[in-house]
Amino acid sequence: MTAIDLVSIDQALAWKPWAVAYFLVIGAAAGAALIAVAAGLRGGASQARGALRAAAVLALSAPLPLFADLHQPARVLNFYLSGATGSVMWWGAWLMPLFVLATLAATLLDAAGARAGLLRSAFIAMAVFGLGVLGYTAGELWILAARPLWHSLGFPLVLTLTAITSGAGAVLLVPEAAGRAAGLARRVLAVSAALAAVSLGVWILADPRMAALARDHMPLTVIFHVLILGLALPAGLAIANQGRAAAVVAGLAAIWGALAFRWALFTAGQTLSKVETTHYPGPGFTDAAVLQSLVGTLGMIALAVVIVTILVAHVAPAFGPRATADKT
Amino acid sequence: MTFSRRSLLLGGTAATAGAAMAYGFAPTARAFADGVTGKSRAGGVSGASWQPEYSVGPDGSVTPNPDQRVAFTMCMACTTKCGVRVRVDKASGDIIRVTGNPYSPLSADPHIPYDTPVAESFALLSGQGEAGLDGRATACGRGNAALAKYRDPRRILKPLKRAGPRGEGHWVEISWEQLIEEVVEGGDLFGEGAVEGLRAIRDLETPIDPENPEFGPKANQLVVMPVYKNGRLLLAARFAKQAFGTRNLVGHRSYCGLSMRAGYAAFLNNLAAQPHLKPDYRHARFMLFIGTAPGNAGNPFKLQGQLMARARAENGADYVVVDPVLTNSVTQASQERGRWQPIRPGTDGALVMAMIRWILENDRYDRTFLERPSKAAAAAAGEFSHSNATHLVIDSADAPDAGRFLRWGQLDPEAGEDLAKEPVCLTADGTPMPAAAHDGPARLFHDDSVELADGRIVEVSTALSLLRREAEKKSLAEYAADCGVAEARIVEIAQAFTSHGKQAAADCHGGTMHAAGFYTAYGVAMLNALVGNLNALGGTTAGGGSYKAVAPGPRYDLVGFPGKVKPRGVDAGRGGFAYEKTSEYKRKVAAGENPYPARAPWHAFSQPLGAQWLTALLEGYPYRAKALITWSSNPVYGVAGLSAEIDAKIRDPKNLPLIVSIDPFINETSTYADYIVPDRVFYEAWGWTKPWGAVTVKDATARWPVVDCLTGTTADGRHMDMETFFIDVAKRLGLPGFGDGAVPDAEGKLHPLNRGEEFWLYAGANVAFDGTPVPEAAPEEMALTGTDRFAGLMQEVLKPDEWRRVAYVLNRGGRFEALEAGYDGDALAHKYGATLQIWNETVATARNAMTGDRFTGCPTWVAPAFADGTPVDTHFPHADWPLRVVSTKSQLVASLSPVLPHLTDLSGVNAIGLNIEDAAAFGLATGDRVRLTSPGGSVEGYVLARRGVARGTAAIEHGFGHRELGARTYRVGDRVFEKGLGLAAGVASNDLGYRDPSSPVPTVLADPVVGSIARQAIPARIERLGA
Repeated sequence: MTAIDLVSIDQALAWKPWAVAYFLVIGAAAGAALIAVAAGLRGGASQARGALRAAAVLALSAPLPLFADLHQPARVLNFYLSGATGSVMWWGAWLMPLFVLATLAATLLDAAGARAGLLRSAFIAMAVFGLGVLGYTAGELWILAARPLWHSLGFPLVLTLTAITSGAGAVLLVPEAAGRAAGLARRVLAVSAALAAVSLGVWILADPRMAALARDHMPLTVIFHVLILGLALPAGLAIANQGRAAAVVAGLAAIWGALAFRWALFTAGQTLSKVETTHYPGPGFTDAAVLQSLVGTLGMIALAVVIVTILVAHVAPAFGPRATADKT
Repeated sequence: MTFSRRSLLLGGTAATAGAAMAYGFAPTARAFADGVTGKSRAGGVSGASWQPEYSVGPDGSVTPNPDQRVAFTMCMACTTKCGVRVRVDKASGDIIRVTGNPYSPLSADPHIPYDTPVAESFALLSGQGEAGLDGRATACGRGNAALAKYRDPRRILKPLKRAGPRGEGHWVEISWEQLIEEVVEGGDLFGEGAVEGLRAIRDLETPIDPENPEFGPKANQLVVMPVYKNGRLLLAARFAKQAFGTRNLVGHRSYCGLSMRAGYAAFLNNLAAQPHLKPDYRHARFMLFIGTAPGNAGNPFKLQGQLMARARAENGADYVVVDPVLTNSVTQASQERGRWQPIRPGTDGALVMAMIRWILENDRYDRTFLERPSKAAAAAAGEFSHSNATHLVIDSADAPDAGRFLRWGQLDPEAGEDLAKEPVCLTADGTPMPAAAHDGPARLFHDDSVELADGRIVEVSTALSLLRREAEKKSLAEYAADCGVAEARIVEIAQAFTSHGKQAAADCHGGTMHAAGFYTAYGVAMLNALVGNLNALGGTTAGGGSYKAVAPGPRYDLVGFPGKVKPRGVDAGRGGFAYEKTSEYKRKVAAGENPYPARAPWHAFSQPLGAQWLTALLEGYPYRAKALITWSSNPVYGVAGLSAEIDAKIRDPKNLPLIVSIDPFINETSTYADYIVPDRVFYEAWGWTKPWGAVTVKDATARWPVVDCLTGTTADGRHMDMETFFIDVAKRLGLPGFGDGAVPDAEGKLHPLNRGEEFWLYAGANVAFDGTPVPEAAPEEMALTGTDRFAGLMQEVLKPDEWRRVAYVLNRGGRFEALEAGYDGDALAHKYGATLQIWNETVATARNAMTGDRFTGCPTWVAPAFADGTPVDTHFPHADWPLRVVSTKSQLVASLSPVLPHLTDLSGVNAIGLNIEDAAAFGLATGDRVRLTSPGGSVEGYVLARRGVARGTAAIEHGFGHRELGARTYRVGDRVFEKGLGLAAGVASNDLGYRDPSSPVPTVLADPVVGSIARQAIPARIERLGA
């Protein structure tokens, strides 16, 4: 994967396909976590559980794709060896792990039946760091003035809204998510998807570069996969049908839409010619790196399901007050 | 059972997940392992990197790494000559990294105050105190990569002598003594017959050709082709011109940027030194680049790129780049500030004349400036420069003084000597006045006849009237048709250019190297006159100058010496000498023949034309050479069409008996040498340079050996290099200016010149003492930069009050004036003072040696043509030759370098760039293999179809398609140096250059006026090759 940039210089794309995977997973994790918090605050821990499981699986799956996106993964420690408060990415290097830890802590505390106060603290931490994650992920892309597609009002807005949509979609896939959490997830999905669709539409109409992307470069991805399949369809399904099958389809479609949006903007953001003169062959779906990022991330999510299942079913109860209560 | 099924499910999922992750994360695992274990010289956490060269504490204190040093010196990876800082590993003596010198205005903006202690300069670079990138000083990609030259396995470290026919690539090593002996004394050196040595050639009395005494003495048959002004040139010049006495020493200008230099020189009235202008980027509001691209081409390219970026981002400056090829100068980052204007190759002159026409017709010119006929009149009006726009020119075609200015003495024979020479202008009421005596506005446009004191009646016109007449030769629509730029767009550019007062500037460069180059460049320069911008803030600058180095300086006179020779005679390339002054011309006239055409073009007011030397010398027109010394120069690669023209002839020693090349590497020219003398690469060398342009303050950049020299040593321990070679040859010949008692100091006492270091240290003393002497260096600063390695040498060569001051300058990589010293209110502090030439009478009175026609004395539009005036497009019509080939400056590859691994990783090959619609019309797509054929040759390469190439253009990035510099196998004794394919990759546009069909004696195509090589706008056709 190379791009011909300025006077025929071959260079690696700075943002690898792993970035698409990471931004999808971490965005969905933050979205699911915020739904869990909202459901938990209104209906107690039991109402939050399905969303919390989704958040835990996704949060646990996020760090490795990000690590894989680093060009020199061995230097990852450098994020933590010096302070760079002016760097959005540096803030992210702290916010993301804190969010993951808070989410896992909330999941374990919930599974162990911890005291409500303790669980509440974990939920608050999860909400704060989750918002931080949404803020930093949008910010670190938006700040790049050299990529006008990213450095626009539309991009951080749609990125954040689709993160919430995909989070809600992930919640709908979890069998435990029933009742109030499922209802909340459906409403959140419908509203965020509708807002994202409207924002994306306005953006396409107002920004000629985005219009060119949607019209000339990636009409299938942007119009069909994002707008129709990924936003309009799940929003409609979430409102119209409350059945399990519809929930699963809406959830998958919402995740697909968020993935397609990230794919379109990351690929196009990097491969649109800076001099507007030449072909910039971007990565194709069958490129090894793209396949590796998708397969690797799916594998990680599957592993995370296993880990969270074991933690929730076997590890946490052994330490919690319920275990103590059982023994007595 | 349930539990077991659940376990199985979990286990199966985990196993599948593990397999998926093993596939997905394998590259990550490899990269991580490589970062941790690869080349484990790393301490700490940062993968395989070196320990930092120093660390900066929270209080700004600097702790140097005792294993490394950081030295400020000068880069020579291209011709920009930036100040760089070089990080050296003391144990191995290797260069680790190259970045920018923060003291140098070429590498930092703004550069730091000169009196900043070196340790503090390190702290300022670190971003300490949240300074971020403010203090950064940069080197470009090429500057970073060129360190590989130092340890390149193909470097020549001992003298070589050819061991077979010329150009075959078989060499043997010889001793230094044998080299000097054979080159000086000659003899039957190759078993091919007697070869004259330099001793026999150095004859300052006997003419080369008694029939043509103007050619000068036999000493002119030594011709010396050095590299560009790289800071060491003046020692080679001291040997060749002032000591040996040949008039034939020439750099690469005639095949680099002569058209641009000559165009500016005609405008700036200094055809000898050829100064040139650059925009004052810091204050300009609008800039127009024609045949150059800021930040991509045109020296200093790195600084111009940085200043351009600041100008558009911080000052809101707009700019237009007129170029057949869109390069780096207009990018998405420039957004609407920068615009690319494609144009048909070779036709920029039409665009420029259309702009001039529109500006004059619509009164968009700076009347106040143009109306002032003299310096005093300009000063009285608050102008910063003045022109001859109002001066009257004798315009009767048949007058003997046609094209000259009307002189006051021609109207008033009684006038005193000073006033008699003065051009005449008319006051507002029409009264004639000597220009210098008139301090008010004068008439801009005037055509009339006037009776001279000698009774003749002649037509006269003001210079500006003549310019208007030339501009009105074609309508805007006709100009637009010629250049392929829409009329409305031309008007739009002209309007923008004239909408910012003096804060607008126009510039050109190598894009004008075509067969209409001189008038194109003169026209671009003229645009600046129309807005009166010279020396004005945001206008144009001729540069801030330099400190005296190799000069009659405050400490040593490095130019004058006892016994200095003044060379005389005709340039071997027929440059700078009028055909009408030759014996050939006079003989023809005496015989009653038409003296025109000459056997090949002569260029009366140009500079020596090195590009034509090899064709001229091998043909013996004007004369033959007996010895050629090249020093790191490579005309065979650099001159379009030369390689094919001379290859067979130069291989025959009878045509040119002795060729010596001084070069660290074997290039396309030194491959024909009889001897190769090793030389230093620039990190090992000494020298002093000044910037090319765009620097508004005084700058003397220093080069000194920041690493140890690797070349062999002579019996007395001196390293083999250019300096040692010329010194030893001069001493053996007993030439003046070398050896003991060769260099006078300010008191007239003579000092020795037995080693190169002496010359460059004397020059350093001049720099250190020019104006207010610099302070003495502290010992700890010398230890930081490594100048302490030369403390003993400096004490030996220099006087006690000099050496520490020279060290102070070397520690900072040169001497640099503060940024503020470049500006003075609304004007630049360093001003160019000569009269700007709306009409140049030297040009106007020169004649085309092939036709006898007088040249026009102001810019005009003449399409690219052969020497006899035949338009190229008539001889090679578009129907048969649909493309015009242009070369573009590479940001990364330098044509003078061997393979630099860091660069081949980035940009391993070039392509043949075509407009995407042209490509479709030819049935071609990106990646197709094609043959591009011109009247002079053909190249085979790959197509890159882009929108950033003008229609009808084939664009080739320069620096590829080498045949030497490692692209070919050669043998030294029993050692075989296998070719590497790196530099052979891609295509060289110069292989498409061609011979001028109108010249009886072979010459490659050049601009008809000044003889600059036509390496742009080469006619070509294209065909697809099989895969």
